[in-house]
Amino acid sequence: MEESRSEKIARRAPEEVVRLARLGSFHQSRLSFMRILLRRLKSEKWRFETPRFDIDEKGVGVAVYTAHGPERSYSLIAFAHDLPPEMRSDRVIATAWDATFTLFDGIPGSADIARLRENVPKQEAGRVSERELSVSRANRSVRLWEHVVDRLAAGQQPDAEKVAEVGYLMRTTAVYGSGKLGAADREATQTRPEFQAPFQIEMLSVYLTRAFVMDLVEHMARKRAPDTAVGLAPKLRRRFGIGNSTGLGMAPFLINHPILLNNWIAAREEALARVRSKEQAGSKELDQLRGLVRRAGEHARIWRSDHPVQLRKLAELRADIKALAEHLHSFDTSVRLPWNRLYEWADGALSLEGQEQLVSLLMELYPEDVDGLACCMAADESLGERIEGKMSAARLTALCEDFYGWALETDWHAPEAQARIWYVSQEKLEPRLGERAGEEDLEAYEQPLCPGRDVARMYSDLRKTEGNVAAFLMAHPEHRHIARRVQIAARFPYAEIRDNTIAADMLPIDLLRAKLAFFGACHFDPRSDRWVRINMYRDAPFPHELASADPDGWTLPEVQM
Amino acid sequence: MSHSLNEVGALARKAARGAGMSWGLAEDAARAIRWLEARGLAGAAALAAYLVWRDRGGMVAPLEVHSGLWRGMDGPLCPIAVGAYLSDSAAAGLPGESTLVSLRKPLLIVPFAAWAAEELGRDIKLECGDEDVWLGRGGDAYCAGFAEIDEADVSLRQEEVPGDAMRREVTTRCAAERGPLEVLEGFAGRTYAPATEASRIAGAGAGTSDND
Repeated sequence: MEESRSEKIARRAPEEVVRLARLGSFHQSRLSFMRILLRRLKSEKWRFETPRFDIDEKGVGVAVYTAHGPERSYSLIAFAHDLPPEMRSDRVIATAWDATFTLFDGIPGSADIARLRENVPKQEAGRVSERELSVSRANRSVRLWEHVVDRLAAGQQPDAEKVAEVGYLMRTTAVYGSGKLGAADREATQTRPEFQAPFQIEMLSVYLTRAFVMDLVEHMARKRAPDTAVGLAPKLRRRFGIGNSTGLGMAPFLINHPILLNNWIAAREEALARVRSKEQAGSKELDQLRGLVRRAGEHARIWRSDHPVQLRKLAELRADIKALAEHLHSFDTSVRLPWNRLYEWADGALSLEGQEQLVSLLMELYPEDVDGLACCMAADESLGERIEGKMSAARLTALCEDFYGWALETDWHAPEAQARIWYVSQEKLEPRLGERAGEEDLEAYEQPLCPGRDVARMYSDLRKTEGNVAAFLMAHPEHRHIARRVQIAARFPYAEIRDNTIAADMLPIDLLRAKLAFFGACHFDPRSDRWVRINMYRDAPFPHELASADPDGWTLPEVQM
Repeated sequence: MSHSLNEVGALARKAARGAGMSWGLAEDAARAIRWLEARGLAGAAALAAYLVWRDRGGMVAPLEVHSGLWRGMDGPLCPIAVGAYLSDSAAAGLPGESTLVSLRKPLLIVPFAAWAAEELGRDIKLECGDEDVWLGRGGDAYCAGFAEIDEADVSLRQEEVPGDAMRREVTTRCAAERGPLEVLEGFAGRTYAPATEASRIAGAGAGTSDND
């Protein structure tokens, strides 16, 4: 039988992709939000300036960084503080920071800055307005900050090894957008092209924050020793990213935003399917991929973590990249669907870390097929709000069976199946994860973050029901949340994580990794099973370099060929 | 000082849950408050008043629907639960005219009637005493009343929005006053688990120094 000449390889199945272990192995890609942002800033020729930089010798003051786009301008207003070391904490319970920020919609006047000076340094205890788009804060890496200021003040460059080891001078400990603390809702700006893709406000804020932090460290060195101080060498300067500490507070995000999760993953899966569907490839693409694999190897080599789970994954990733490089050594691109063959090989030969690294690398080969998918990653979440009440109970029962088969087969009476409980603590109003058995009376505070169990609970009532969903939910309001979710899952294939999110062996860092990889973060360094440090924009061109730099080529370190 | 709609929505969800609603109904309460506040209608104050009434022992009754008469088996109706049923079931069709007997805080059912109008593809008129509200099939609200009513019979009719009815503008901010928001914060606080020393350390996964 003659083979079809334009076979379209299907997207991977949701039950294969939307699993915690695979989500926890995602890598940044062309569709990461940082990269979407930098491509736009570059292609639209955004201009950047620093209209204000008033920081004293103690490091206290204010600076403004303005980005001018084709239609609108945005300003990062940075407040720098003199923070006593004992107050420095990444945790959300902190009340003071080395620097605090807001992204202002436009160019702030002195009255705006005066108003914000009274509020932004207080973070959660302050209030901002619809003119502000985000609120964030950052702390210094004490060990690296002091080293860099010392060296620059003495007229020397910092030690490159030390820079590589930490990777950043400040780490953000929260970046709040979308209406938090009184800021503008995402809905108020989502029709602007520059904010159409997800998290562009937050990514712009962090990008400008990085520029500020580097200017600040050089400024502090000059203040300390005006006669001898030097600036950072441009090449070394780029090696600094912005760190970020992300804790449990962000873990429920992917569960709470199922349509958004669907759109992120669907875009990435469509990109992979397009690449796997390429009928042919040539030596040019193969050479490019070999080069990318070498660079990914270097990235994996310098990736540091002390966490046992990540150490194991890193060992697997390094071995995977070695195996991939060897496989590509004799890889034949003249066969039909070469990248599909490569993917199928990887599916059997590599760990999840290596498979997902390969997915990201394959996407690099075909920007023309991939980059346009960025516009599909935002979500109209109102599409999932309304319940289809005229659906029959029998149909809803069938949807539970079709989309949550794994959950209906789980023995929810087994202690390990419901070992964990998500709740919000009174102390800091942030999500936490407790042990159901150990802590008294947490049941009453349980958050709806365990769809599998909740489907199983609904299913046992639903099977006995005739009539429609509206009547069922009138009689069973306790199932209303999960019924809505099942209807969403039926329409959006990648919306639901096919795993037990309250199991004894569940790792919250898998949820954090997936979200942060979509942001474009690298160097995931779990500090426990429930918080992680990452690096953002490491090696990226700075705003003033963007006009003459590649907005995409920085995410993997350069290697000597 | 105004609030963002996301803030007031998140607060309403927690408050409704804290006052004893299921998570699913609390989500609908949040949508409703957002919808009202975006149209300059005092949704947060209405929800606060309703939750306080419930908290002081006010009981709502299970709904019975018989030939256009919606009534509680043995007491008044919950505007959120009945509203949810109204918008859920609208796509399956509604009678031309219905009466909702002894509905608590009728303002809170207005968003659900708007969603029902969209599902039906027909305009809806809500009437309560001498006050009325129209909901267009496109999802718009026209005129407004009900804010001061605690409990009343409400008639719901499929009726064209009059040509001279004034459409409520949609804004991106919530102008609710401090008082009702504080009431909602009080109810929201009931969803937070009191901290214990063990949970403080284990729950958030900290315990190591991060001053490095």
